Amino acid sequence: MTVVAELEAVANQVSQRPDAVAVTFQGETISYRELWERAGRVADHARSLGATTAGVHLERSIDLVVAVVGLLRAECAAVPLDVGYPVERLRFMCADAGVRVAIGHEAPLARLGGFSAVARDGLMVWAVDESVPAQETEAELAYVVYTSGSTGRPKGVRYAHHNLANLIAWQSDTSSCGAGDRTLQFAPSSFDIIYQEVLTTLGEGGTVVCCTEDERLDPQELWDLIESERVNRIFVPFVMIQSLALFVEDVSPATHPLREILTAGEQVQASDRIRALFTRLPDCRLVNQWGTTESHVSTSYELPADVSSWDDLPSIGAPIRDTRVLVCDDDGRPVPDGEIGELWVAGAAVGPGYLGLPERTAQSYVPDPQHPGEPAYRTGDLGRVRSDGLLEFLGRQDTQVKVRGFRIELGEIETVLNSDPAVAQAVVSVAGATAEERYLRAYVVPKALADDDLPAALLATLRERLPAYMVPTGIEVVASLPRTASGKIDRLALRSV
Amino acid sequence: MSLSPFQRALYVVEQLYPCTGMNNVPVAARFEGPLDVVRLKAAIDRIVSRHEALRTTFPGAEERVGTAAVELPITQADETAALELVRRWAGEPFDLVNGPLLRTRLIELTPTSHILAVVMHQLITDGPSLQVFFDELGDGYAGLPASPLPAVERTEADEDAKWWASQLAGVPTVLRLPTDYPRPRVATSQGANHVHVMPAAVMTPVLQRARELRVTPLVVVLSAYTALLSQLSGQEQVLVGVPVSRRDRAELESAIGFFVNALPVLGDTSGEPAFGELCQRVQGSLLDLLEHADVPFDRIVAELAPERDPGHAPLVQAYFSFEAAPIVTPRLEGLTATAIECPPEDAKVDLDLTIFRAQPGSDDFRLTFTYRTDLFAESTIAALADQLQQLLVAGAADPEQPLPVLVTQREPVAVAAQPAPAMASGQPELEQQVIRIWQEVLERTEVGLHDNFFDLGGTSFTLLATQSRLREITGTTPPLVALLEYPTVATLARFLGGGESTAEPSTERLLAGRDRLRQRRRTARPDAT
Repeated sequence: MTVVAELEAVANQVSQRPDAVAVTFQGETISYRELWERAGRVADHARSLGATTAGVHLERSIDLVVAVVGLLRAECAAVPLDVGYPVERLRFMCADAGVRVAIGHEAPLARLGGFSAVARDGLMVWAVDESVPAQETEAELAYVVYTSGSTGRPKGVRYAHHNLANLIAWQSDTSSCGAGDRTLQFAPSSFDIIYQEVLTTLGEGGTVVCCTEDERLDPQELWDLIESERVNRIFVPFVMIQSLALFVEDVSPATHPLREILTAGEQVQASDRIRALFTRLPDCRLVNQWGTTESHVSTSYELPADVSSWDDLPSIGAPIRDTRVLVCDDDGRPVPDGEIGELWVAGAAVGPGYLGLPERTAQSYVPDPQHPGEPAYRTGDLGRVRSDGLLEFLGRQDTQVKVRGFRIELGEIETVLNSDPAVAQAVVSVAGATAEERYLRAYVVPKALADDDLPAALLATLRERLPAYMVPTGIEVVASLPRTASGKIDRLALRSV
Repeated sequence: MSLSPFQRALYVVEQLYPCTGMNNVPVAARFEGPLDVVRLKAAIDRIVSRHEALRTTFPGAEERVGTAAVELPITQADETAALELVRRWAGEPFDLVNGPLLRTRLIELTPTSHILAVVMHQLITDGPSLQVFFDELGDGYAGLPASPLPAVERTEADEDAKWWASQLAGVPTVLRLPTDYPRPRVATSQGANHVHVMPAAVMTPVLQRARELRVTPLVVVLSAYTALLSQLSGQEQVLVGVPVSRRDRAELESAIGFFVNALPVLGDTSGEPAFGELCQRVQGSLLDLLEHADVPFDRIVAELAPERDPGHAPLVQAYFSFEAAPIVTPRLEGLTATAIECPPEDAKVDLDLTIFRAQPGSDDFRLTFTYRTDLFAESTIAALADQLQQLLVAGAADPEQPLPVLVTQREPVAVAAQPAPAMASGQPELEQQVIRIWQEVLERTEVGLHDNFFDLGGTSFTLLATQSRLREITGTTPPLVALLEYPTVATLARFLGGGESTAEPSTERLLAGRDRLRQRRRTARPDAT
């Protein structure tokens, strides 16, 4: 039996260690054999329904992992429909992707409207919207994930089997985890990272540990889960690492299972507290990855064991296997090393573009200036090549700011704030409508109940450590920071705070 | 338990106008076959015992869960009389203090043909709740065990409407529809329904076009509706209130309750867009606002501070809800079941369009226009329904073209409110007390004698807070209507001091106050998303 490339390693594990635990959730476990059987049922259903794409509307569960594997076995592209999204957004995604067949838990599926149940598989229900015509096969697609930006029409980002296979093979080779190790399934189903978590782990012969929504959001509960479930590896956004760092005193380092924390999606700031976290867990390494939904993981950097050698804003490292990163100017010409430009990704990490948006695809997926026959994806992120050859991430093009003529990296200010013992989390943004009116504003979530002097104390610290033009005009103490659906800080929403 | 921010504005309107059915959520089901009434009643009792919402009453500005029993009276009637009864029951007001806020009644047409009328108050229900009710009714009637209900925690409201303010800055907040009759100085709720069936011959191509444009069916129909309202009003930018479901957590799927927020969707017809382009604009507007859908409607109104015209409802004067499914799909073991729509006739706004699929498996859609009879003649609404149909036909036929202009504009008739002359109350102590309360509840340092409560950012929520603070200070509870009728410090102090207490509140001022409150009312509609 042949399977798509990114599943080959999983299939090998199934034949080599059929009785090992593949997935566990709230005390329930399934073996590799059982996982493969159940995924086979999912694949059979998908094939018998003639599905080339299928909506996946499942809550966090073993079923979700089974469905991810099963749809890949059927070579049926998954369209994740996050159960936490507003229903009208989900209906848009179904309309946009032309979802005819969906698999989901029964109650959430009912609210999508238009779908009729046609088959049952345990707690999962297969449903069909008969009014949607069957689509032509797009056999190379692994999934279509929708962008979660806070403005504008979400775009369906396509990602192909060969893109995914390259990432998973590279990740398995470079990770310190392997057979028998346990990895948390933290990413929402609507997020491409779930494939990295699930396929890497199963391909290595490890165990996927699922969590509840509550555990995912509460750092104390998450620490408890990591310890009780002996989790060795987590893929989490940087904000979650910051949250975990707040409660690091509660963990027992001598016996701690955690060996690898991988993060992506936001600038890592090596604040004192982050360094303290990894000092307390000397066997645990931090891996800083960078990419976009369109290019998944494109670069990676494993920070050295000695936290004192870390840069305040650590590098995003070097491109992953068979992938290139270019630093280009506004006209698409590569700039010399050391100069700032837009980061372009080319090679195996670049997917085939947006679903049904040829113009938008042509704008962002352009010919690679160095290999004109191949596409490169313009990420809109800024960066540069450092003198040691590693890449430095300098924020989004639209968040890298000039205030009163000075080019300012907001992350540097945030690092200082985040190092303060009274601060749980800090974000700096630019306020003011016109260029002349622009000023910096900091938003700070206090660690405990804030006293009224906190903003003044923080400003004093900032003045000591930063040039005057980088000191925010005001510091606002807030209870929480707005997040996008995938858990990143919502900088656009912050501007309207 | 205090009211949720989503309930509070609705609750205040109910206090002011306890005898309308405009916030009733009615539906009926017809059952053909031998009905076991005892089993039916037992099934209803099980639903009521499972769902707190159905046992909730509102003895004050709070909700209380009690043991309210639901009756199932049985009436015999013929077909014609039965439909008239269903229509009348749909508009019958509820007693919020004593409950229950669910009414069930059975009509026996023949021994093997029955109609079950179900009416709930909007404070405890929404569109999906109706289906939960009928699903559990079917399970209970069939003797199936009830599945456990997950605990439902109240979702937090987001009281920060700044995104909305920036998003809708500059958009007209009054839709000036041309009317048949001079617009009364203050709005009333007298209304009627006009039903229009949009046949499959129209809707099948429309649904097909939605798929090709890759937008939702709701968006295509809403786009045509906003285009029509734009033509009627001569305004390029039109706000339409669309109820948005807040059931975005798994445990809410099986809950009965009020999980909906009506939000203003912007239809922008500037630049003569092709119909397909208009649909993309409306889809974009809708997707954007979903990211900010936890802001209660009254907060958005307060932030946008719309023109205060008591002849119009606040911010949106047209509502729209669309469901590509029948209103409910009832089922009872051994019987044939069909749903009957029976919306209440009292009008919340100038024009309220509710659309459901008429029957499962058919592309016929049933449109109910609920309109203010003091503004419109039924013939006008019937013409408007035909025009909407024409626009949909044209748009579905060729989305590359702008929609045809069907309406030549008439002059809208609008009568602006005259502010009442302000004078000092002669009650300096009371004035100071009122000012202090306003400063506290409105969180403002500056409150002038003649400032209007609502211009200072007052909402239904702060109105309730003001009432309770006045009770603590004066020992008596001023009626909410008084707070609406006397919206400045000076007039309120005069009223509290007895200066005007003997005078009957003028209907006009009362209605003006009611209207101001309505401007803050988050509309409660059966969920259409």
